[in-house]
Amino acid sequence: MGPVGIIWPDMEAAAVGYLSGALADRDELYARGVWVTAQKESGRARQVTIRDDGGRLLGDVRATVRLGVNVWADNESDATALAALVTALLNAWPDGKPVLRARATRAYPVADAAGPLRHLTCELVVRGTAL
Amino acid sequence: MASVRVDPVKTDRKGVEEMLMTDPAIKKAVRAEADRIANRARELAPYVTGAYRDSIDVVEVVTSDMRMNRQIARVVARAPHAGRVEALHGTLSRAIGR
Repeated sequence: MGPVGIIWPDMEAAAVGYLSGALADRDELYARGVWVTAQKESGRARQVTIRDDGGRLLGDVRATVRLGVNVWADNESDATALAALVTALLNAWPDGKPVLRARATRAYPVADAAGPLRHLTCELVVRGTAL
Repeated sequence: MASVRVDPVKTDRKGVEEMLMTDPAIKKAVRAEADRIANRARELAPYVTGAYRDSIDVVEVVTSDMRMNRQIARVVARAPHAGRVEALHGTLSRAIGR
């Protein structure tokens, strides 16, 4: 059981905000115009979707958060490159506000998807805030 | 003033490894947790034909990560489209839960 009186951050929203900003700062062609969101939207070839797959409380003011990340792109090579960039950006995320640790996996290509798709997971350790 | 000499503690890595590899209580606990996750994954699995749900299984293996051999259990989905299901639904990831 976790501590009473801790508010846990919405990490789906936080990840969308973080990745949107981090990708906007990149110069790579395959990173231009990438839409980062929680739900896939039609009509956008380059998208990153973030899904909160749960996690556990660590008994103090910290919790783990598992994110499922899908990376869609115009073609297979861009999907691979964009997924590798997203992995690196997620691993560089820990800033203490509220992410303390991040461990993103290598992405794998998803067969039978509607378009070029890569999937990766990211486990975070985050800090909550007191009431 | 009295003083007490404390010798450094030496971990018996070989002994720890032997325990992690052969202790039936550890094997039973690992299997029970894997079964719990597999059952939860079957509950969460999207159902169309049941092929994905029925392909969820527990595999007992020996791993040597953390530079030590130990018995672990993996929850796997063997259906050919399991990778797509995991990408779109996160079934196994969400099944880990707590």
